[in-house]
Amino acid sequence: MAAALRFVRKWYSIPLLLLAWEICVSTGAIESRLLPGLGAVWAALSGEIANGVLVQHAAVTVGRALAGFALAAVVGVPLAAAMSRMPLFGRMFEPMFFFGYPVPKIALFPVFTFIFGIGSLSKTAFAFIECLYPIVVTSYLGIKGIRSRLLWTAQNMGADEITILRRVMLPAALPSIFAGLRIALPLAVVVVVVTEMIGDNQGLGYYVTIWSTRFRFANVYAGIITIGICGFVLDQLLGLFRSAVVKWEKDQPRFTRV
Amino acid sequence: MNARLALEKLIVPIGLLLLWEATQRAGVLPTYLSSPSSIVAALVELTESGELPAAMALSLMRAYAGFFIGAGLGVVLGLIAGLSQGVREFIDPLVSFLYPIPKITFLLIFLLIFGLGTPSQIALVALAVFFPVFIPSRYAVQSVNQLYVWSGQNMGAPPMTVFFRVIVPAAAPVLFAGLRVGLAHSFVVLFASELIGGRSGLGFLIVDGEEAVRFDIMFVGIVGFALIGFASDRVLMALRRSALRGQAIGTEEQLV
Amino acid sequence: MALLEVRELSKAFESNGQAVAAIDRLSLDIDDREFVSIVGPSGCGKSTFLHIIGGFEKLTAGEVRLAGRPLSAPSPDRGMMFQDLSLFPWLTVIENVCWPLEMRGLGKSERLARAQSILELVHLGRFATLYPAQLSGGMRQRVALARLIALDSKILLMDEPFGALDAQTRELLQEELQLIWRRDRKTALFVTHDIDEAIYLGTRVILFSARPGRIKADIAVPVGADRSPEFRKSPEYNALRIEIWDLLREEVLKARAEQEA
Repeated sequence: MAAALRFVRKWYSIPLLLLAWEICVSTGAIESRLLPGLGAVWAALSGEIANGVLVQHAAVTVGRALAGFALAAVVGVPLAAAMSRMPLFGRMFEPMFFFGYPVPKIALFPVFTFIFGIGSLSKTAFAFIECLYPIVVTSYLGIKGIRSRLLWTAQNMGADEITILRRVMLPAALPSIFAGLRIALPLAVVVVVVTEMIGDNQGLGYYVTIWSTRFRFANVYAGIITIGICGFVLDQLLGLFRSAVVKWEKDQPRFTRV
Repeated sequence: MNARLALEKLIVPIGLLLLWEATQRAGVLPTYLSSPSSIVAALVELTESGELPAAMALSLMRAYAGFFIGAGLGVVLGLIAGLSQGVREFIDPLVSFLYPIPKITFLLIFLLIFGLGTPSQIALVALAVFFPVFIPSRYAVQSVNQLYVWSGQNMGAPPMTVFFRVIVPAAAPVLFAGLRVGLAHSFVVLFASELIGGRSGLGFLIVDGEEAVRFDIMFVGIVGFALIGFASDRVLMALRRSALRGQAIGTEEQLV
Repeated sequence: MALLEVRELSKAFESNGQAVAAIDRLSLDIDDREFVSIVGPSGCGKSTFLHIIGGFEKLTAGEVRLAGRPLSAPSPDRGMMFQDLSLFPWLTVIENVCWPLEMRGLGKSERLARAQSILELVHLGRFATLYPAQLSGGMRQRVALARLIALDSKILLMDEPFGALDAQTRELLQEELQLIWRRDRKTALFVTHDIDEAIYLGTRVILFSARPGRIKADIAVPVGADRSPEFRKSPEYNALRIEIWDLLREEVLKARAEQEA
């Protein structure tokens, strides 16, 4: 009983908002063209899932996002490791990340579309470059921040360079690396969706755009909700993956890392 | 020694620029990739005609307007939520729900509500900026060191004073981190909204350049965006340094 | 009437749904102009006790009166000095010391003058415009002490103020503290885990038992005003030290046994 009450207290504002939404629509306070009723949104959502359309677009978007994300992780973490362990390397790449960080990578959109075309390749490339930054930066700081004492202890116990890298540095840096991954994953989804909105013929971004131009906002909201669900599910999966790998430390609440 | 370090840092970017110029001139690179020299030429051309300053001013104005509205709301609501459990319980689920959704998806809806052009772009930026600013602000209040608050109370400060002169300054570093992310978001969202639905500003310059097959102009737009994003960040960091004074000592960031 | 009267004070925490007694029916009288050192094993509730007196935590049962009136919220009449991390990092040294003066309503020039003179007292006059982050641990605690002095409280509460410092800095600060104390002879409650510190500084040493905290011993330090470094070598000092350590050791072992259980 107490647990149920806690649950209600924690989430009550969402049903409240939905109720307000429904009231606004049914009393005609807001044009139903603009704000379709909950029933209409639900019908669109369930319908489009059932007939597979939303699922298909979602698969496209998620696939691109994951591909770009995974690529960024595979490239970014070793790059960060190299940058932190080899000072020359670090100095060479530091400006790119230092100056590039606040530059909106999306400014390169036209160039990427020219090089990679308008399909999945350019979307994946975009996700890649967008994710690369937070992954490299947080991993770099994480690896650099490993207390020398840990490394000295390992050396003192006779471990060689490779062993130290694998069995001391990597585990010690994993929490920071995962923090970077956690920041990057939603970025991948956002970037793919945004680029799909600007130009494409599949994916959830395209779905939202096309129905907006047709003024069928029930479908638009259904698409938006699907995007949210995908983002949420992906984040949960990442969390599970992290728990499996980083067994010794509990995860931080989602938003303390900014 | 400093000269050598500077050289090392500049090697990669300068090298890339030279490579770019060389391959374009050699005809190896496709024309849509332009070249640094033609971009600079177009930069001069557009500055003299006044087009570039006008576009930049417009984009900047939209981004900043949206940023101030969204960040202002984010900080104020975040601080209030941090203090009041009631407010927290109401807002948290809504924020968790909306946070993972790319706000740009609301663009066309906003266009319908606010009409074409600037107002809807500003509203969209404000919406997008709100979240990354609200969330850390809310957590910042709760993570303020208990001893600061106790000391303030101990020294006879009434609750309002404790809030404004202990909690807010103590939370300021985290607030600035949130503002920084929000600022970056504002340019990204503005860029996308200008590309999709814009008729003016830097985004339009890019699209226009593309359609007129003037890729050098297109790149000027891109560079323009990169510049205002970067410059704004530097300004914020300078503001941060002066606002945080004693708290920033020893935390000079290298990469982030 | 004693300045501070504690009657049957109890404090319980909730941990995993169970009530854990931190302090159990503690009674104590503290008179004006006493410097009372409180020692005890880790976890015995001595810091909690101080927090309750300071008004930062609430007691579960019992009563505390200051000058005849029951305790209330934190206030300047019970000035507190914490172990570390209590100076406002966004203010300079002198701005930190000015803060309590401002709360008391002093004007700007008067504040600055007073703060500066207090800083001279703790030998930090030259560092007024620095930030806490630029100071060593020992210097920061001196600033905290200066701030405490500026507060001009009826009773001083100090929670292991030198606990985070190295032994040498600690000894020097102890000497300085007792010199300063002897000027005004304000009533003070000083929590520490260090017996030497407790005896050196106090006119009275109270020993807390292992959890739940009760008073195991209440020993007067029967030495005159002089607390020069020589005091630490005197036979009276050593006798006291042995007596207190024997008692404390029993409690430390008890506390350890409870932990391991």
